[in-house]
Amino acid sequence: MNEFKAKIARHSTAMAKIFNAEIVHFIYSSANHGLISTSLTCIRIKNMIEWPKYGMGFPVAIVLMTPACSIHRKEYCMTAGITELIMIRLPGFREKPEA
Amino acid sequence: MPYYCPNCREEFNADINVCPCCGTNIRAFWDGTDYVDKLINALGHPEPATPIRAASILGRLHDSRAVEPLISLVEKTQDIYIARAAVEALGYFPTERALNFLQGVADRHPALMVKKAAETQVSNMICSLRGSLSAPAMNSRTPSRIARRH
Repeated sequence: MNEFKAKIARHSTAMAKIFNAEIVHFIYSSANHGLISTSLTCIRIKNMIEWPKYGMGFPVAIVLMTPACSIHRKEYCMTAGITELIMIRLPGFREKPEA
Repeated sequence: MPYYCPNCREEFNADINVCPCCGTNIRAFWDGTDYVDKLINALGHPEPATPIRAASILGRLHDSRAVEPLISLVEKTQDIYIARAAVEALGYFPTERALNFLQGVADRHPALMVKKAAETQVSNMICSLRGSLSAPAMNSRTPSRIARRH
């Protein structure tokens, strides 16, 4: 597992624990868009009734992604075998370092 | 997938129940801890993306328990992106404590990016406070405006 993939994996498991969720699928693409690599993680909420308290809609599953990932959304859904998926770009992206 | 102990931050390759390093019952922690407290705990996560996201969510939740941990995070972190996220989250809490702290950050923080974020938050908070203070005054002027029209 390369360094960036490991970082995303750590972040994904941390957020999944906070959201009381489980990791459904974890894929990583090494494609670079500027300084930001693409990564996607899908986590499934165990207790859907609890989800509204998170204040971010009512998803079937959540995808944590870096900003460049939206272009791979369709490909990701097919890979993960998920047909009903609400993508949420969660707040707090680590942005590209400023010049 | 790498999992971690929420107490000592030790990392494991499996989702284990009890930390072999510090003895913390990890499962009990995740099952028994409030969502906001989990987010506050995540402010200390070693992977920088996690405290940034946790700070951002804490701001949106407007839970006052987050104010002191966010202030502490700004004071302790060496990561300017984490500091900026915490400063932006504090902007959601229009309290005297948060305002005074952000003013201090705007004046003295060594990182320009963090200073600018604090300046923006202070400005927004002052505008918001002025708006809430001027609302009754606007209402009191309303009858005279109506009177002038007629």
